[in-house]
Amino acid sequence: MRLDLYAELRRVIRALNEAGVPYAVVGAVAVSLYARPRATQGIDLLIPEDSWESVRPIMAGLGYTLLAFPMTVGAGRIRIYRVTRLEGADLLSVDFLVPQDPDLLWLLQDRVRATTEGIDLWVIGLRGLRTLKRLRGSAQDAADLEALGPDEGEATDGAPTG
Amino acid sequence: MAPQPAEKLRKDEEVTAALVMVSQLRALFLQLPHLGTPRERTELEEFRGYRFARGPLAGARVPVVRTGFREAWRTGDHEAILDVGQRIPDAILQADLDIQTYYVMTRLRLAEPWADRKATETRKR
Repeated sequence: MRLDLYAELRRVIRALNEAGVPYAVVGAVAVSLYARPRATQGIDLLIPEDSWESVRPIMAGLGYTLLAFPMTVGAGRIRIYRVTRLEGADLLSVDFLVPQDPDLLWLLQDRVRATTEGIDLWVIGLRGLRTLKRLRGSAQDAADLEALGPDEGEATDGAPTG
Repeated sequence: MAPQPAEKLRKDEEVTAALVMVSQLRALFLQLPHLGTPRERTELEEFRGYRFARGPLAGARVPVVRTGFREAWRTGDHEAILDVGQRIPDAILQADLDIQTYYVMTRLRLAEPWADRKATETRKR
């Protein structure tokens, strides 16, 4: 039996919305909402540091297991907490990206609202998405930046230009 | 042809269709047979060496363990994940979320209780 990413995304965002957690969908799912859809193994969500303690029990209640050790990327500027759901042999992870650098706090303010099947879905703004992709700088991130297209006139990092 | 700038988020009616497609692509990706790259094949060979080695794997490398665990999970070789996972340094387990995921989920799948750091401390040395 396989986990349905879309169904899981709906469960998670509905729970976060009900709890009033400020989040933004980032990563491959966000790229797929701005450019052409692509495959991904899991879901990435951006949250502020002070929301993590309230997110943990929410995800546990949804059947997700928390990994003991978070990881940092982007030279320590983003911490990632991972929770994973197991169904048969299928694993579906939700990575919670938490900015550690005050210069990245604008990312959440840059989010935009969409809806899917009547559920509010907060998505990182395009400028924020590009900033995160540049921060990690993997081969997949480079491909995503190319899929997102040119970004003339945007700030490359830090505070938005307006 | 150069991609067009992604100026705006999709319209709401297109959001659901895009999300469904992402989900379908994931399901397809998981069903397709995995053809390893030359690099992955080399890493799997090194991982097999870990399996045959005795004692702590002080020299284990993160990309090798990650590739080995991914393949072992795919083929249902839980024994390989548990065996190597118990002998790699804590630093490797803690440095990579995928490695942690496969190790923790294998233990969970085999109904072994996982108690965060305490479980790590009781791993074989």
